[in-house]
Amino acid sequence: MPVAARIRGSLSGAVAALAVGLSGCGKPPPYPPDLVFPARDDRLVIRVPTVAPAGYGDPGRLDAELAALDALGGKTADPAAAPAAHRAALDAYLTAFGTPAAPTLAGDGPLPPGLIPERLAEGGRLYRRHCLQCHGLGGDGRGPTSLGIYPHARDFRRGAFKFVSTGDGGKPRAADLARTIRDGLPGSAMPAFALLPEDQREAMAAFVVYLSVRGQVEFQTLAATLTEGDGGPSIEGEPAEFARQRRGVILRDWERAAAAPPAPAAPPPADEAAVRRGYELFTTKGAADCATCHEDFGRMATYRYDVWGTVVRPADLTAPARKGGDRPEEVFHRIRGGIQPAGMPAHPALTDTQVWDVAHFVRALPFPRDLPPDVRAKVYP
Amino acid sequence: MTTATQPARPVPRRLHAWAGLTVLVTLVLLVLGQLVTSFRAGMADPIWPTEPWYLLNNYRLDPGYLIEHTHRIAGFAVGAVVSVLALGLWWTEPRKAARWVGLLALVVLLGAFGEFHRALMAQRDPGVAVRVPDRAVGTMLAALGVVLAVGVSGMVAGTRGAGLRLLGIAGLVAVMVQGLFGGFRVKLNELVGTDLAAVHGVFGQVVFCILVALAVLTGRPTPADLPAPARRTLGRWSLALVGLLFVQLVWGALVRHAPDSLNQRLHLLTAFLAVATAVGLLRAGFADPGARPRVAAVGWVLGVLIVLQVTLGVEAWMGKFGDEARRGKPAASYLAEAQPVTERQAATRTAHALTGTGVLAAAVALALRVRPRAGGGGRVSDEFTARAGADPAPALALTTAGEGR
Repeated sequence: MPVAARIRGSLSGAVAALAVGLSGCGKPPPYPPDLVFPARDDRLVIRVPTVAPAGYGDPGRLDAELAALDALGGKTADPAAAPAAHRAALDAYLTAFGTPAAPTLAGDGPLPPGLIPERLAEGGRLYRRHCLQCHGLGGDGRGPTSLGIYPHARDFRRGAFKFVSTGDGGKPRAADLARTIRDGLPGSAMPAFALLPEDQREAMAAFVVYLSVRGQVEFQTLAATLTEGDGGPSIEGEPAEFARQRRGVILRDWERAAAAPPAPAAPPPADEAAVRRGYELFTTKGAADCATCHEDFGRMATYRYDVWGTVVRPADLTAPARKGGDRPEEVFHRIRGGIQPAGMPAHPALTDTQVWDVAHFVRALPFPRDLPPDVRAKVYP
Repeated sequence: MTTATQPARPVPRRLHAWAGLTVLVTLVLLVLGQLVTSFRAGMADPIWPTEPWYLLNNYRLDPGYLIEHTHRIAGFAVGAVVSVLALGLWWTEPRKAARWVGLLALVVLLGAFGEFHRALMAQRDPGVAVRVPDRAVGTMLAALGVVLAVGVSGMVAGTRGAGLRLLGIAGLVAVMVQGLFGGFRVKLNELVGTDLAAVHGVFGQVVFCILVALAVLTGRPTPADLPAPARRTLGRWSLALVGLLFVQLVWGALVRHAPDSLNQRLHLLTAFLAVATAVGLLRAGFADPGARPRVAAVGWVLGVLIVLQVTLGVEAWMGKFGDEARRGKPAASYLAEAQPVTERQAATRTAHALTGTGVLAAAVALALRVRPRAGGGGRVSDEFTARAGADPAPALALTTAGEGR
C-alpha cells in the first residue's frame, strides 16, 4: 500500500475515534457553570376558554395559540406586564434554586427523597442530553425540536402532570414520571428510554420534579402578581415571600404524592362478565359515565382545552395505542384518578372492583374478539 | 466521437450516467438529512425501522415528522439506485464465471440486508433491546466475502474495471452502513443517539465522496498523465486538502451536535488551514500551464464553493453563537442547543453543511483528476462492448490495457 494511502487510512481512523471520543460517547455533558435559567417571558395561561376548540393546534404555533385564548373567553397574562420591582424580587428569589449546573431544592425544610443536589445535578446532565431539545432548558416545552412536533412538548412549569397513580390526580409519584420516561408516550414524539439504566431514568425524573417545582413557583408568583385585584391571590407587595410560601406548599404536594397509598394489588381476571360489567359502568350515567366525554367510545369525542391552554381530545378508546400505557394497572389509575390537567375527572366513588371492570372493558375495546358478543354488537354495530 | 487520443470508458456510458444520478439522489438525501439536523428533528418519530411507504399510511402534518420521514424515503431511494449501480458495475466483469458469482453474491447480500431490516422491524417496539438477527448478518458477511474475493481476484488478474467494481461494492456497503447508523441513531437514542447522529453525519460525507469518486471514475479517463512534477505537487496538495476538509467536517458535525467551545475552536482553526491549503492547491494548479486545463473546471468550482462556504460559515456561527442569535436574551441564560431554530438559521446552517459537502466532493474530484492513470487506458474488448451495450466504435479504436491494474 502506498505511504499516502496508509497515512490517509490512519488519519481517517484517528479522526473517527477522536470524533466519537470528543462527542462524549455515553457521558452526559455538563452545563456551563455560569449558565442560569432564563426568566419566563412566555404568556401565562390563567384560565382556558370554556368553548370547545374547532380542532388541534399546529406544530410550532404554541405561543400564537396561547395568545389567541383571550379572544375565545380565556385569560392569559404577559410576564412583561409585571412591575419591574416585583419581577426583580422574584428573579432574585429564584436564584435559591441554583443553576442548571448546580440545581438545588434545599430550603427551609427537609427535602423529599431523591431530590438531593447531587442527584439533581446528575439528572440535569442527563436531561441536557436526552430531554432539553424538546422540553427546553427550563422545562418550558419550547426546545428547538418542539417547533416541529405535535402534540406540543410538555411544559413542566405548570406543575401539572397527566399520568398519575396516586388516585387523586394531583402530583405524580416519582415512579410515575420514571414510567413515562421508560415507556415514552405512544402517538407522540416522546421516545422510550427503557434501555437507560433505571437509576439514570430516576435521576431524570428527579430533575423534572425540580424543574416543575421551580417553574410552578415562578408561574404562581407571576400569576398572582399579574392578577392581583382581579380575583387572584394577593401577594401583598412581597413576591419573594409569596414565592417562598408557594415553594413550601408545592414541595408538600410532592411529598404527599410520594407517600400516597400503594396501588391496588394484581387485577381480578378479565373475564366476559367483568368486561360486560365494565361496559355497563362505562355507558351508564351516574356510574363511571365515561361515554359522556368518550362519545361513541372516543370516536366522536369533542375537542377541549387542557390546563396548558393547548387542545386535547378524549381518547379514541377503540384505537390500541394509549399515551398513558395499556397495562391493566395503568388503565386502572387513569380511571381512578382521572387525567386532571386534561379535564378527565377522578372516580373516587367507584369500588376497586368497578374500576377494574371498566379497565378490563377499556383494554378490550380495540379488539372486537375480546368483547362478549352482545357488547361487541353495541361497540362495533 | 472518440479518437485514438481519447482513452476508452472503463464501463459503458449508461453506468456513468447512473453513477451521476446516484450522486444527485444522494445529494437530495443529504439536503434532507441536514434539514433534520438543522431543525433538530432526528427524534421526531421514535419508531424505527419503518417500511418505505410508512409515511403514506401514517401521514402527519408535523414538519419535523415529515422532514424526518422524507429523509428515510430518500435513504431507501439511494439504497435502490446504488444497488443498481453496484450490480451494473459487476455486470461489466469480463470473466463470465466471476461475473455470475459476483452478481449472485450481490443479490444474496441485498436479500440478506432486507431480511436484516425485516427482523428489526419485528422488534421495533420502543424499549425493546435489539437482538441482532445472526443468520441475516452471517449471510450478509458471507456474501460480502465472496464478492470481495472475486473482486480482489479481478484486481490480481488485472481485469478491466476491477477497481471500479470494488469501489461499487464499497459504495453499496457504505450506504447500507449509513442507513443503519441513521436507524440506530433512533432505535438506540437513549444509549448512543446523539453521538451516533454525529457519526451518521460524518459518515454521510464519506459515502458521498465514494459515490462522487464512482461518478468521476466511471467517466472517460483523461487522455494523458500530467508531467511528473506537477502531478506530485498537485497530488500532495489535493490529498492534504481532502484530509483537512474531512477533519473540518468532523468538527462541523460536532459543532452541530455538541456545540461546546472546544469543537467551535477546532472548527474555526481548521477552517483557516483548509482555506490556505485550497489556495495552495489552486495556485499550484492554475499557475502551471500544463496542469491548468486539467484542474480549471473543478478548480473554479472549488474556489467558488470555498468563498461561499466561508461566508455561510460566518453567518451560521453568528446565527447560532453571535449576538443576533440571542435575540435580546441575556447571555447568561443562553445555551445555543436550547434555542428554537428560525427558518433563516436552519437555511443558513443547512446551506453551510451542504456547501461543505460540495467542497469536499470537489476536492476529491480534483484529487482523482490529477492522479496518475493506471495503465493509461486501453481498448475495450469486443465481447465487453457487445455485452454491455457500449458504443463499439470508440472502443475498437483503442488498444487494450489493464485499467485499474
